[in-house]
Amino acid sequence: MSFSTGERIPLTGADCFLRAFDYEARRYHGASHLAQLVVRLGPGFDPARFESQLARIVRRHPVLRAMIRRPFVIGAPAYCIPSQAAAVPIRTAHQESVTAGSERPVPAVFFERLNDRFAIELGDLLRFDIVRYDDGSTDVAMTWAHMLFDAAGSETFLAALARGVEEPLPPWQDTPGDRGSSPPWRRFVHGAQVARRWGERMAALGSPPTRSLAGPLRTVPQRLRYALTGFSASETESVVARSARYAGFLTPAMFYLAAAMRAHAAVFASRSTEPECYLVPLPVRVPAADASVPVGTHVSLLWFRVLREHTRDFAGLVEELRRQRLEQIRSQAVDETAVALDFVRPLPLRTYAYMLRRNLQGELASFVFAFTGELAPGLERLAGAEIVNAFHAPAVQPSPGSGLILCMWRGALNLVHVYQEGVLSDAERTLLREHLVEDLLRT
Amino acid sequence: MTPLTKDDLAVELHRIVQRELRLDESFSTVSNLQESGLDSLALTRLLLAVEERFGVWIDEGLLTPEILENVETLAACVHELLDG
Repeated sequence: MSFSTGERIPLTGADCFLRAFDYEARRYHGASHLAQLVVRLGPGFDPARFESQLARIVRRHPVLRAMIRRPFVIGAPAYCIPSQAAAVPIRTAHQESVTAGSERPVPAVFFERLNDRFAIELGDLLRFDIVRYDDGSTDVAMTWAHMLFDAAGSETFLAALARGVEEPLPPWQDTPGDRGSSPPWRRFVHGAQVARRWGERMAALGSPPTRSLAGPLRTVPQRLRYALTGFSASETESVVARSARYAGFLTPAMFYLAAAMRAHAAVFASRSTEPECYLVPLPVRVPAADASVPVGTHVSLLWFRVLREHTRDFAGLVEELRRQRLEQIRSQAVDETAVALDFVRPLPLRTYAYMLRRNLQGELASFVFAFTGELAPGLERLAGAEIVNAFHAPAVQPSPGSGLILCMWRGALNLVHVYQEGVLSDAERTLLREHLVEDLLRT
Repeated sequence: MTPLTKDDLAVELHRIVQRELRLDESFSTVSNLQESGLDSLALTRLLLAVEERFGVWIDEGLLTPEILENVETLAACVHELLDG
């Protein structure tokens, strides 16, 4: 679907939610709320071809450079389609290769980019960083304002970019709040009722209060870094078999979340500051039938709240997480969260985090977590080079300050620990990683 | 009440899947479920719809990729559970 110049496309409820955290990140910590997808390439990368493919896709979808405007009176903020989309910035650097056979360290420029401030309101939504190595290999980082894509959307975009043909992106999807045949006043009343229930749900999650490794709202400047741990194909096979044994074929995310929760609990225990409970939001895509939507985030949240005692036994913890997942889906929590987020879109940005903190009695979450499954199935090459690895690294707020993101690249698990500098010591990061790997691989 | 045959079940399940995944008429009882957009959230919603319609809960832990191949393989699983 293409849009005409000046057309306004309302942001989804999830877009506004993520944009609210961009506001908070910029206000307190200086950087924008961004997400990054890194693609590691073998020899043969053609930068000119890459640039031309990117320019073509931006010309065809100027929404990628759209400014964001709020209506004069009341209503949801919207993307304003520009008459002529400016080019997406690409920054290129050169580096020496590391020893053959070992996984390259992530280039420092990628961390720098994740700590940048994007002029999001003015259409500065997406940037690329390319690092060329003297052995011919290349790393490409796509960094975007988190509200522009969710993880699956970014993969769809990358695949379209890699195809490099005049194939249109899948159509834009409006939001649940904009749909339906019922009159607006009825949708408003329904939205208000659902938003009230959602607030009550959130308040119930806040007792006892949540604690993160960073502590309450940290106002230090944002300095994000991340560490990549790659598993071999045979290690991944063991992890997947263990996941199927504990969480079944359907809900591997519960297995990985249990391991992530216990790894964070180990760090808390080493500080002798274990909280009474852990609270973790898990993004889920809605509606399922629109899985190919490339731009705009279409996610809801499942919230998992686990008492400290439950983290002692791994199998019991997985079971508890599965029970909570089923219970939330059964009670329509996923749909209601999406409707509630849509309903509150006209609110000023500052109110989102304020309301969430007030309901949760201080902190937003114990840590950030996502398991995105196989990354862009079917994607093999980018601008003439074979893709040898790829992973996600979304920003985490200074509080909670720690996040674990897991994904698969062609049958091999990638584990990315994103953290704010100063939240965990080197020894604590090692402890967290060791506990996590032990829970994932233990036989 | 006459017990449901496997074919009856497949027809009913086809209707439920089509509604849950908002699929068009090209979706059949042998169409691949995952390729049609059945992710874990949609599948859990489907299992809840099956429970509501047939009164049987399919434990998510029992499911395998083979059972989730298409509506017919899923219907065979539900039929087995209904048979006890």
